[in-house]
Amino acid sequence: MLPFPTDPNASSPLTGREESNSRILDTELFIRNAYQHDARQGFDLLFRRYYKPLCSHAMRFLYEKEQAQDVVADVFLSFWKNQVHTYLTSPYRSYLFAAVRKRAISQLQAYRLDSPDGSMATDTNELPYGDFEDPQQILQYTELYLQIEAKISQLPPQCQRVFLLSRVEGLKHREIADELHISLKTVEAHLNKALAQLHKVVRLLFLFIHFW
Amino acid sequence: MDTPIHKQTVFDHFSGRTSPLQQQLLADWLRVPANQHQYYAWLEEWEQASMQVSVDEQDAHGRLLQRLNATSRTTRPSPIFNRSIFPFSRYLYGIAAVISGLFFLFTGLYYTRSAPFFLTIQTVNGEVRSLKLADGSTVMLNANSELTVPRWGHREAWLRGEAAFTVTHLPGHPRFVVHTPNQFDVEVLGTRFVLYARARKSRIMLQQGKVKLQYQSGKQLYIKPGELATLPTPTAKLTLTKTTQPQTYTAWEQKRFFFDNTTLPDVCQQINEQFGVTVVGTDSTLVKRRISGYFKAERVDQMLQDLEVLLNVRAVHHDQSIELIPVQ
Repeated sequence: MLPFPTDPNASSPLTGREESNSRILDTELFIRNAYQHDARQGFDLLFRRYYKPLCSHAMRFLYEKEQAQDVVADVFLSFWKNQVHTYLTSPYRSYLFAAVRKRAISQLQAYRLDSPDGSMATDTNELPYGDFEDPQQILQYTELYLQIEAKISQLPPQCQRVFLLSRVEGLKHREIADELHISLKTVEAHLNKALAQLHKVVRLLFLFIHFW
Repeated sequence: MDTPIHKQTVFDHFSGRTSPLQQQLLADWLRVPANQHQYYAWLEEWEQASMQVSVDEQDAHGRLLQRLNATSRTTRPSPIFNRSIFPFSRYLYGIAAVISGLFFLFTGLYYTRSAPFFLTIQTVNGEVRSLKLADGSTVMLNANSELTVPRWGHREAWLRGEAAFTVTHLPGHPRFVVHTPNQFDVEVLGTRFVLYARARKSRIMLQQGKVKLQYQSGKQLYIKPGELATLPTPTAKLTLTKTTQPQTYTAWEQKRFFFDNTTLPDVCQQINEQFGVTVVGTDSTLVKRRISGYFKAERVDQMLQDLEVLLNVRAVHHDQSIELIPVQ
């Protein structure tokens, strides 16, 4: 019998630790070795390995392609500038995901302060993430993006379509109007409505975040 | 505390399909640090399977590297975060100011191709000089010409006038680029060619190897040995011809003129370029005369003597010019 299941969806009870070790061996160790050999090479590998899933995760909070990509790029930049690899003992992946979550949320907080460009965002203190976090907080972060997702799925279909084309696909207002055969004014109206809803849910959620 | 948690439970939690009881079990499970890493490993796996957005990773990588280089050039990566606005002592700012001042001074000197970084060699009337560059290449600089080369570092040269280059081929194939003022640049690996860049036209004759010609910002052309590319004015159309007499373009290296059915005005022009002397022959029959042959001419009067005999003329010296008058 194999020491770990070949089918990732196999339902044999499995303690996290066993699989965690095998995973860290196949990718993290490889990147760590590359880092020891040449920091720049290690950094490139790290970027190529995690950039896409991190962007995908940041999207769930921000629902804006450019912003999500910026957040992820900022995390990688600070990872390099602060030479995090020199002292990080936990897996890079945990650090990166935790850092992206924190940064995305501080962007949302800036949103709440009515500065949608994120200029009010406080620079989160990049503590060695992924060492140990409050379990409740980890779960609440997930709850946060689920609430945002729920709000968006409740939007009227056309409004939702316009919102997603603009923010996820990154189309210009004009392009959306052409694609959906609606006027430019309608596109703007739909977007304003969607954003107002999003602001509302984010504002409400941060009321709770204060008690964290 | 170490309740086994299935991957499916965590995946359900990511998609918002867990009950409050399961949430509580998850929270307990997350108290173990190793499980937190497992949580993020599964989060990554889940994201990989249901990507929210398509992003151009290659493009993002390029942009990140740009930002990274921009920051590492000005600041060294610091291992500790410093959140103060003025994290360094006043002296360090002073030193930084001095360094950046020097930086601007040196870039200024560099871009104006000034003496500390560049060597400029000029030749006067009738002077032909042979030079050896730092990379081993040799340049024969014709009269009334100017060549600027960096004292060290990259293989580049700026030419005004005429010169014959013998560029050595180096390991790693670094390029050697010669710029001229007439939007006529030559890029080579290792080869022999004669480059001419004076007011009346730009021209290159390739003797050996292969060169890339870049002209009129953006256009380029590869030239083969024996070919001659001429650009009459910076905006004109480039002509490419095969030359059967390469000596026409290299004769000056032996302090000679080579004429092949060349009209007298053209001869006078060449004398002017070589010796800085204006020679005119305004007589209507004279301007139609053509000359062929090799002429040794280290000084201008040697050439004038030859012309006097050949064309049956007399060279009359004026203040600013020399006039050729037919002998009756």
